[in-house]
Amino acid sequence: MISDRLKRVILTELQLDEFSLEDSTIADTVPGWDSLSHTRIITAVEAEYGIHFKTVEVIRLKNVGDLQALVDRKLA
Amino acid sequence: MRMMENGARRFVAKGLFLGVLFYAVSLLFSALFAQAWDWRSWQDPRKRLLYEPVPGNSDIILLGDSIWISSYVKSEEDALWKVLEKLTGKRVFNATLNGADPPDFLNAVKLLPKRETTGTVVFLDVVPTRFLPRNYVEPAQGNYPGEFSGLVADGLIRRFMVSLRKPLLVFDTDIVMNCLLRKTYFSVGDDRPRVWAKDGDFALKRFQTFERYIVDTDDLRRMDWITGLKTALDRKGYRLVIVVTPVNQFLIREYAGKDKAEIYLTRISRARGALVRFLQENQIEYVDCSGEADADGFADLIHTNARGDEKVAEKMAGYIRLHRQE
Amino acid sequence: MYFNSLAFGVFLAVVWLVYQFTPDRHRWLALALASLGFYASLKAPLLLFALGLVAILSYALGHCIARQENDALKLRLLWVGIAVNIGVLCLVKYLQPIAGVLCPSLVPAGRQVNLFVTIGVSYFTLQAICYLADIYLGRVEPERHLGRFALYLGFFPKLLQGPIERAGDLLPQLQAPYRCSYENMRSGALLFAWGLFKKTAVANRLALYVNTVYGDVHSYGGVSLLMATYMYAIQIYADFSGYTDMALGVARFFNIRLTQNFNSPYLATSVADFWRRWHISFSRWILDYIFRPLQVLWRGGGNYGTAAALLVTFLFSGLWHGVAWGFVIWGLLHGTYLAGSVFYKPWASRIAQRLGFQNHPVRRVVQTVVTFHLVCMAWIFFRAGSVADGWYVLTHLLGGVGGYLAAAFENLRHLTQHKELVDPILLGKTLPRFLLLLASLAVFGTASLLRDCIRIQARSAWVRWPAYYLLASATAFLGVYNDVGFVYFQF
Repeated sequence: MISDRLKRVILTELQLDEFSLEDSTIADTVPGWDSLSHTRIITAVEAEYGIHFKTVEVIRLKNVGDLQALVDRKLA
Repeated sequence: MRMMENGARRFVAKGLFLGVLFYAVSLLFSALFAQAWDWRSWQDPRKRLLYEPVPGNSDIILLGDSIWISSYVKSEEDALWKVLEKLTGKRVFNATLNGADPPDFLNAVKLLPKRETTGTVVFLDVVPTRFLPRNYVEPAQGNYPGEFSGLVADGLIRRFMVSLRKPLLVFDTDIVMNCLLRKTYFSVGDDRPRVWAKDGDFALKRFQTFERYIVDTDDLRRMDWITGLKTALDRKGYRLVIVVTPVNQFLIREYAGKDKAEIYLTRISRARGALVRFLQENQIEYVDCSGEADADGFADLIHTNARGDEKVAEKMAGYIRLHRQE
Repeated sequence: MYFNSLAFGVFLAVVWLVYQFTPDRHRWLALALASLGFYASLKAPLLLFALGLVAILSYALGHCIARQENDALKLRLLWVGIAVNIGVLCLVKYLQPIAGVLCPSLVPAGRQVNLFVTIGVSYFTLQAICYLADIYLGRVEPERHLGRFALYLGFFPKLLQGPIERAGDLLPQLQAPYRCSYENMRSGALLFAWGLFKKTAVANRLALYVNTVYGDVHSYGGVSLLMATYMYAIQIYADFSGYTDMALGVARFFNIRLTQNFNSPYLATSVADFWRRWHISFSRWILDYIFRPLQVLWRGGGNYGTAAALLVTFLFSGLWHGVAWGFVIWGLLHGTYLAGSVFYKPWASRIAQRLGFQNHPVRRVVQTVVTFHLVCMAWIFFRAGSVADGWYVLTHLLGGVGGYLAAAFENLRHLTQHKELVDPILLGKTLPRFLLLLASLAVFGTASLLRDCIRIQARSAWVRWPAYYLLASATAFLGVYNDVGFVYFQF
């Protein structure tokens, strides 16, 4: 389950109004999500939640579900 | 074959079949080409060794490098091999190659047919400057490794490949291209009658290159490749005769500084002396043509033009006449 | 043993025949021994030792990483693996030049550093690193069989010049049982023949001209320098893609599909696109294992962080090709192009969108031409004998070109009579030689264009066999087989 807060951050960064983000969604399928915007999204997520990711953790992310799980782990 | 899978068997069979078919077709095209065209007359007469089998009935064979390819004469009639033929009345085969070095000479010997009776003379030009050390390394395989590897080969597999490749004229790029456009080989571009002192800075530039590459030392390079050559020729029934060709001392005095000129002349003279001694010690016959050409007989430091070639040819003809009885 | 040598042909035939008769469970051994023999034929025992060391250590570390539960230790093991491989790479590649500087007496004078010989190491060490990284990231399971793992690293078709294979792509193929496929054999043979043509008839022939000019840049004017640079761009593509095609073709004989390394690189519309089409396996490697981590690490810097990551990535690329300033400059140029585009591209797209020619075909053409020239500019430094030479070429490229073009137009009909117009193009070689070069390029161009239109394998034998014969004849006739050019002196 992707939280609305996370969805909002991602969609704002990509300047998208509506897009279905599920656990299994990968970056390639989302319009505008390339390597440049990827780092912007990560930075925005960190700023939104006040957390910091390690480089290795970011590289390991395979899909949006992984990102949500990572955020949850950092907040816990 | 039985153990191989279907696909593999099919591929091998098809591959062999296509290989043989392609070879046969190419052979056919080559045969047609050879019939329809007198391709030999279109080729470079200065590279005869590479495309013409050396006739078994030659009386004289010229072996050597750029000094004897007659670059600086008007037409093939004035080329050294033609002049020598006229003077001696014998059959002369030109087996020289531009820029050849000792490894190339040895390869050339491999192309000569074996003679039953010793009688055919092989003249080799050796200029004394060959033994002055230079500061670059000459390739160990000679300057025609590609060409010779397609003509002579050691080892069974290579020899088999060469014998397969040889009849396929149609794939010999040089031969075919020479037949497409009629080329002038004499009196064109830099290769024309010229005299060093009356021809701009052609000879001067060459001499400056010479000075750049010659090492300042009194040592001399090895001469034992000559004995190796003699042994190889003896085995095939030929007589090796070294022709010591002249060096343009007039040019040296003109273009080198005063002191430098003396040093060069001394070193060249010593090289010549050492060469002659070496030949005498090893019982190798020779004709000494040093000083045969006058100032107008040279195109540059070591290459003679028609005038110089004639003088050298006369001396060689004199040798032939002298040894006719033997 | 080069692919275009008689010895390799014999070697391949023998290995393939033995492979057919080997029982399935020992087939990996046949290929491994063949690869060993292939590598040994280079007569550099240090390389065999490096391959063995990398194989054993990477195999062991792979299992350690997979089994390690603790995240921090897992990462540390990965770093050890990376360090070992980079260490071996640096040692082998840079040993001789470093020794030459530190203790010149140890390095015999005049002995050539065989760049070709060290390239094998550059490839399998990178492949080992990506294997370990993929295990760490959970993308692939470690290979159980040490022999098969060593084969994965040292498989002879890809040993010398890649492609760099991902574990997920190659390992399963090595594990699969083998059934000889006639289709694979046929397409493999055709691919090999095409690669051979590209290497001997196009690349080697262009080299004759390029070597003349780049070997003595000060003797040539702008037109010649320009021509030689364009020729080099084609030469290196034909050379590298030709070699890769031969590798892919040979691998197909064993039912192994290696990754495509090239995809019409000079049709790229941007330098970024170029790197998605040139040496694909290598650029994917540096993208995944150097650029992405750095970009994430430096995300605080925004676009500047990305730009810096690109510069470092391509600096690595330059150094990986060789220890010479020319390669470094080449790498940094590409890094600069890409870093620049990070800032330039969004702005340019916005303008194009606003003006409405975002997808205009002319824009694509302009982009392609500009990209090609940027890449050529970088090739100058890659090829030039020294940085000074490269700089000379760059600054004198356009010298006299305008005047030349004007003069050429005026005398178009009698061009061959004007020596001063013809010489800069012939570069001191004869007209027939130039015509041969044009013929090679014509065959290359035509066949490349027709390849996709005419699916040659689908046609009947009446079409296929003459086509094969034409290719074989073109290779035999137009191919350059002796070592290009020689330096001789008769003064």
